[in-house]
Amino acid sequence: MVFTIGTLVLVSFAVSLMALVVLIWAISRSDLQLDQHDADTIFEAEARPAGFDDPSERTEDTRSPIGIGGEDLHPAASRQAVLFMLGMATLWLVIGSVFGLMASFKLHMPDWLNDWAPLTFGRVRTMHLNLVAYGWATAGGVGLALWLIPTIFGTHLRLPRLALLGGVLLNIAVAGGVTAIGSGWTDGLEWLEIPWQFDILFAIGALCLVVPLLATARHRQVHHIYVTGWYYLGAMIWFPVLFVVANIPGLHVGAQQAAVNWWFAHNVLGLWLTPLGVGAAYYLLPRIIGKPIYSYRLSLVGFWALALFYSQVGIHHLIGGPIPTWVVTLSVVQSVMMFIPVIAVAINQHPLWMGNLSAFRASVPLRFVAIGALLYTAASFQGSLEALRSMNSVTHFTHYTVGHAHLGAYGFVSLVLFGGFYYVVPRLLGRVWPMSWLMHAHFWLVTVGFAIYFVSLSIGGWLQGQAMLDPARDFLASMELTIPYLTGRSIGGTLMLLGHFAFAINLVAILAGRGAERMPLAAAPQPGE
Amino acid sequence: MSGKNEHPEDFGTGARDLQEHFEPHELKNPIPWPLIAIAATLAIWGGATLLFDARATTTGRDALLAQGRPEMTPSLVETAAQEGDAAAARSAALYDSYCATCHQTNGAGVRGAVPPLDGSEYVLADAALPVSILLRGLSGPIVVDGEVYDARMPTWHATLGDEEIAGIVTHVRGAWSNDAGPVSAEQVAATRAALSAELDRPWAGGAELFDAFGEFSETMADDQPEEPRAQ
Repeated sequence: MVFTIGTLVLVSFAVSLMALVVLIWAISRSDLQLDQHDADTIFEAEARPAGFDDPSERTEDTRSPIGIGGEDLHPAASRQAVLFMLGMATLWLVIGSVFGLMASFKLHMPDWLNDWAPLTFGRVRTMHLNLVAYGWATAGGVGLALWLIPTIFGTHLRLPRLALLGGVLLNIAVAGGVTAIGSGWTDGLEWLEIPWQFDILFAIGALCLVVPLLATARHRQVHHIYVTGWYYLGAMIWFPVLFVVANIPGLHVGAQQAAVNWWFAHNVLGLWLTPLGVGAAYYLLPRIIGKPIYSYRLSLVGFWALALFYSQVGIHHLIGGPIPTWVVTLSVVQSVMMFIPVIAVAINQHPLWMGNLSAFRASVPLRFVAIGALLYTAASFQGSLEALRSMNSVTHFTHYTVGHAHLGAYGFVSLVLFGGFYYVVPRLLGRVWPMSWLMHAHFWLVTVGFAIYFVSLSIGGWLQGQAMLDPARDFLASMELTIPYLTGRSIGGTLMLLGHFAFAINLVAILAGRGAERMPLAAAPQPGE
Repeated sequence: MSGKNEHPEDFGTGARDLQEHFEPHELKNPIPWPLIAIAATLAIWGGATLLFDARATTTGRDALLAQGRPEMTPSLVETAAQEGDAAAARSAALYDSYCATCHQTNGAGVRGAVPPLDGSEYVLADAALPVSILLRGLSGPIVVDGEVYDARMPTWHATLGDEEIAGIVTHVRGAWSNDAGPVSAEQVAATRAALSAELDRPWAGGAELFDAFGEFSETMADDQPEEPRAQ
């Protein structure tokens, strides 16, 4: 047998299976000293009793986290870095979704805004993708990590100036890269469009953010790394490797370039945005509700199965492409194996909020995170099924895939980030959100808007796929039938964009010093009262 | 847990009971057995799928082994070039650029999508048959080696000249386990002339080929699916 990269991939599948068996066996035998007490780590790292906790509207909950030894976990320098990242992320979200909506309108009004090259479909769509993936989700996810990692580890952020510098570089790279794309200068590969010259800056920025987070983890004051920490630390290692390997210019050519392209593009979702989102949900759900997750040991299976099986799934985007059939098959198999970690996460997270529905209804941040977690399960199940050849032959190259991508990146990651922002910012500033009606409006606009968006694209995409497979129908027919569904998507997208404006206005207002402040410390109710 | 669970809104006893009763207290919640069962099922399914799909790529290799040739041969282009046969090298190169994307360099095709050329009755039949498939392309169901394929093969008459088509067909008929005779450019030109009225219309699957070329293989007549003639 000849040893190729393909062989390596095949061996990695076999090793992953064995590793999973060993892990489950070890957990069953209690070899790993891991039990439900560890799920309470989040309530112990921070001197703050377990209990319903929603700082978005209740001033008494807006205290900045205090460590066990009385240390302020978020001194000014760290607070500045977090707020900078969250603010920039929101800016990119607003600009990115304006471009997204523009691209959506162009699909059913093709002549609209066609006179100026930067506003043509190819560039607007690409700017949308890069802004929301690298600007909004990455900057927002890292911003939350800058808050969560010190909080779960019970110590202040190390090297906060370096983190701020990293944040500045990262955002300059996003701004420069997207401007370049708008002017027609791109690397020409999906998800890798930002010119490599800006990628260097982006990679340096990411590194400057990762180092302080890892240094903080090293100085942790807790006896146990909570599951959020595993996801975050995994992501901090995986993403820089992915990003640098995939972006080295001239290294990958031909069919191999396509394979690397989708290896990267799918791993950005699965090994970067997913751990950022799942990690945040694993903290925010129990923290806001005030009760631990269902089974702490199960969370270990969820994390390791993601780590073991995710990295090869991207090649299912090349079903029918000019790479060996069995490599694609392997990727299909790995995609379906993702049912295991997803079910593990679902068992842990959903009973918690579904069993505490009064908290769910009382807290907007919790609602965002819980629905985000639910849509993670949905998006992952859907993704595993879409990887199967039988379903892929209908959905590939249709709007159905676009609907799925947004179910993951918006329904899951963005909703969790919204919830995280609504929870974190009041605790950093000691003020509740000034216009809570805007927060409620944001929730309803994006959930209703996204429901319209997703249902339209899924139905339209499926019909489009069936029309393309039908040799009796002209290709044009497969496009014409999608017009009502694309119009529906634009309506949903408009609602989502309005929601983002509500979100941004509230953020600007709270940053500008508005919003009810917490009572002075002496007058505040003591914990446990 | 402390008793700080009073919320501004109350949603009735149902919600209150849920809220008070759901709290995982077990120290060692086991991993639920259904999850382990699902994991085992998926692992078995995954292994079987890999094994099953690998069939698509071993045909050509098995044929090489059966001929006593080593498993890893130099590419067909390299072999032909080493043997000093410039025409054969050019034909192999043409096959690599026009045909191998779908039919694969080992001629095994892709399971369920692209028919194999290695051992195909159509390739080994009278040379006019493979030549006319290249000229007109194919669109419709066709049975090759007992499997039904239904896909579109491009029409090549406008892209490839007689010389080139003759080279490709000669190459395919002599490659892997195939051992049918060569085709000349004159033969291709004759077939092209005979088909001149219909060059732009692809063959409507195996049934039409069978009608046009008669019984070129004994096993084939019964194999062809019932096919609605699209004319």
